[in-house]
Amino acid sequence: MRQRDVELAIVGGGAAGLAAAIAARRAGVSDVLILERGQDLGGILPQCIHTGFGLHYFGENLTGPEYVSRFIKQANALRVEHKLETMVLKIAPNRTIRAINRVDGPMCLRPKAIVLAMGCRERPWGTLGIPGARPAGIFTAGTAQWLMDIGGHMLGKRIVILGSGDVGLIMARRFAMEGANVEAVIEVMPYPGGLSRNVVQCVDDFNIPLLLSHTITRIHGSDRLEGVRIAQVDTRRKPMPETERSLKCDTLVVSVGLIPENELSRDAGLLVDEQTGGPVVDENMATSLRGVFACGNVVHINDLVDHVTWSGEIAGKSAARYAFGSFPPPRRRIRLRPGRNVRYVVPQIISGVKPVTCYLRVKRPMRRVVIHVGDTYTFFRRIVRPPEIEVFTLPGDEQIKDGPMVVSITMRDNRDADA
Amino acid sequence: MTQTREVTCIICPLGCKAKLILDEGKVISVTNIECPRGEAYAITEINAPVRDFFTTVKVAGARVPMLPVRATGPIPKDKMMACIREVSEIVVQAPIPLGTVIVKNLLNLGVDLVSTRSLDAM
Amino acid sequence: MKSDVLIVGGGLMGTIIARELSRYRLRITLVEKTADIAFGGATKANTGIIHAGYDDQPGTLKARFCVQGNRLWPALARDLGVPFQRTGSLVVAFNEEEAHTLRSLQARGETNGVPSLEIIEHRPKLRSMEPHLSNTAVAALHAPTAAITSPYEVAVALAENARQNGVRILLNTEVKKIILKEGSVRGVHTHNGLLEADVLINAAGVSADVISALAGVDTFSITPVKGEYFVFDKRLRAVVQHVLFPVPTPMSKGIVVTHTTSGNLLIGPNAHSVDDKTDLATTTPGLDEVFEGALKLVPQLSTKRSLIITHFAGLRAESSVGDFTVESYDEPHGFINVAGIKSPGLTAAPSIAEQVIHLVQEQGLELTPKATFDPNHRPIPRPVDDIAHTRLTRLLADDSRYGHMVCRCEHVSEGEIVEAIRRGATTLDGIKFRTRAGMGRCQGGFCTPHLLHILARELDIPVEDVTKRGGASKIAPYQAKSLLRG
Repeated sequence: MRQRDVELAIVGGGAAGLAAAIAARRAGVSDVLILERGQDLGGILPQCIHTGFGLHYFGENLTGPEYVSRFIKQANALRVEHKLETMVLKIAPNRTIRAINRVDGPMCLRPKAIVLAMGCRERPWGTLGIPGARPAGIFTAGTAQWLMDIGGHMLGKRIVILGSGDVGLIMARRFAMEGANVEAVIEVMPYPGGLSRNVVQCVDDFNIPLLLSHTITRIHGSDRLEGVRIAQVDTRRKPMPETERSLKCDTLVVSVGLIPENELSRDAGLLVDEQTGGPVVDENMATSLRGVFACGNVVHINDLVDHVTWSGEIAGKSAARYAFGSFPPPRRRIRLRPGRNVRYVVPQIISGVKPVTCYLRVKRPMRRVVIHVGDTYTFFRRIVRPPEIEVFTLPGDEQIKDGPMVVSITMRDNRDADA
Repeated sequence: MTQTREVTCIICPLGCKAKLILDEGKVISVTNIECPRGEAYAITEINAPVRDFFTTVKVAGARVPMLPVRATGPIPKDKMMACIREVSEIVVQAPIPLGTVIVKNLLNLGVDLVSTRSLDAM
Repeated sequence: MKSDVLIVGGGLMGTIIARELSRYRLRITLVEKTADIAFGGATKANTGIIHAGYDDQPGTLKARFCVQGNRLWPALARDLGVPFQRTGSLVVAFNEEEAHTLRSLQARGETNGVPSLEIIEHRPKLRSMEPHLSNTAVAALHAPTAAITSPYEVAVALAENARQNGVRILLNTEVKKIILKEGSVRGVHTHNGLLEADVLINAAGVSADVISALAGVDTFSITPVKGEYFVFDKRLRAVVQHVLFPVPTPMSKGIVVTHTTSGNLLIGPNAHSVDDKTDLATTTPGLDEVFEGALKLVPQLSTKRSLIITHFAGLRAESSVGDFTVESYDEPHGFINVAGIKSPGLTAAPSIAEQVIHLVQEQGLELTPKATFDPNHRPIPRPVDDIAHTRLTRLLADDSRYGHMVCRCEHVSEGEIVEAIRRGATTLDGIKFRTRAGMGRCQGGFCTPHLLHILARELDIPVEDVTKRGGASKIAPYQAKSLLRG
């Protein structure tokens, strides 16, 4: 088996991995190797042909492929090495990486530092437990997007989309633009899951019915999908049988959640936050395993690729310092614990003594709220919604006390009342 | 003849549902909108709504069969389907560097259709 | 070309009979109406348990063949290169009445010849054997000879071994009529024409009564009894060590919690008869029933719903006779029924096959052992399993595609997928059952586009024509932009 020592190994060549690689090279790491399982660098972005990327990072409104092309170009210019169609099979607790591809065969890599940038996968249709047989014609949104926009296939003529998050809305528009009949977007919550920009430009513009407070109760068809049965749901999100009706369709596109891809992380023994689905990280994007850093969607599901890039830059810089031996463990560990109305906060651990940008996901939509960080910091927000990550920056404070800080959200006008 | 229209603003997550009153097709008042950027958007959306245009075209001789493309500027919203039909039969030949002009002055709208990805010849 | 033996049905029974008969110098044809082996019915949708044999009434064929079959399984699994894990099973009692039933089961098992049955009443011992078993369990019947295997892998391996040994397998071939002449079998009419044979073996599962009626034998009817399942992520593999059963009812052995040989957690099946022999849809009340049943055994599963990766249903062939039918007839001569093979069918299969060989011999066919018979089936090599380094190097030198991982979740390489196609897979499900590609936690989200392209390339067909399991199950039926024309 080929053995190779390498300074920095990066698992994943999407936006996060590329940003980490570039930052590490710029910090002076000479030997940076990206291990990418797909046939191209870029991760998910080459198939995200719509605009809305880079508004913050570049101040421009780019498509996914345009955004990531800039980083691929930079990485190539900096001579970042990458291996494509290369699968990392295992990361051992001693940081040894076992990987395989058809050119090198099986490999055993011994990196000084590792950046995990595996991104995420889609929640499969089967997890929902919606009854029916197993016909062809059911796809998760990302798979449908690849098949259509990279593979050049048209999957069906009458489409139903389950899930009104941004991915589902964007796919509704893509299908409509390719000449299919999009019968409906079905959403179980009483509000859309994605940005209002996408509600307007994906369903309103194309006259696609957005059925809020609805769910699919069963699917029809045994060889190929023939239709779905839908029903309105009550306030407890349970289907109301008297509202059931059938929608004829030949394709169901399912967009019901993204899951950080952490099998390698768990196998390596990293501490995982069950709320994010990703490794517990500190403000340097360091995980619980010394010398292993993580960034991008593998840490938590980001809503903007700009944030993914920034997290990759932090991870790359930190990994570089670690590889050079100048990465002492932080003096202080303050755990940021999610409190009332907060699903999670990333990073989970901060030192408190230097400024840190934090990313928070709320549990429910609320207006005119205050984000409390311990008893020390507050931030006002006019509106917070689960699909949109809240960003706030904590200033450093040399005098900060050790110990956990609870991050919670309350209504501005009454600290203890719920919305 | 006055007319009332509602526009959901997309500038920020608040998503204000702006109410516009028009007289003979001209906007004479905008309410329920929290900021000037939103007001400007709402008015444009009523008078001359525009959209980004992006799609795929077929490409021959590359490792993948589809090339993502976009218009270099926004297009009128009501020209969306016409633009889609106009480009649906295009087949380009690899190699295609990023930014290659695929269609100059698409449908005379003053924007070009360019590739958003580099694809090498296989 | 005339066959000596024609087998109807490409499920577990059809393939094991084919393979056993291929030991002899006979011309054997197997016909299967769907697009692939094991696609038809129960074979790919059962719990995969090799039962110990205490469930069956003494004196029945089920009882006899189950215990015998259990003993034959390790050698069979070894020859076929299929997974086989002797996990043992526990039938769990939650009250005194159920504990009493355990003792009847134990007695019945001992009558049937089941070894080493023991009743465990010492709760700390039970807890050490199964830490996640509900602590309201009062006792359990431990059957160390119970085991698990992968039923569709077994059927595929049997079919490949049979083919290796000269059996002709015709897929997409449905029997429409059985031809009898002067009280003897002459052959069958299929969609693809006439197939002549002297002996006809009916192993048609849920449709066995239909085939039997075509031969004029109306002695039983088959009611499809649906069983539904949930599959969980491999992270839950360690939740149970044994196959866990509740106390059985007359209808079924109950809703089971077990891990599978692939390392997933599997719960199910329930049991409800249905009218339609093709109804494989899971149902809301059924799935709820399965989950509730599993919670009785392992209450912790209530917080693990998010780790469900899929659900499916299978149809049992429940015979009106109440037992297996493994018999031949005076009239028509040459017709052998192998019907009503439901649990413990998988366990009993090797033993039933032995009995069928006798019946074939009784029909007058000469059974001369074939010198060239090779009992060993070589499974498709898996680079990611601990293949000795030199073997992996040689494998990659032969075909570097074994180094290209296509299914991320199950680590299946392009080499394995191409080999699966070479061995007969023509559909996504065919690849799935031969390699596990698409069975992992992402349920084909990542690999499906690649599998489509590999199938199209290897079979030299347009991607638009690739199907999930044959027939009308096309995946991506149209070309880009085609809906915008006109």
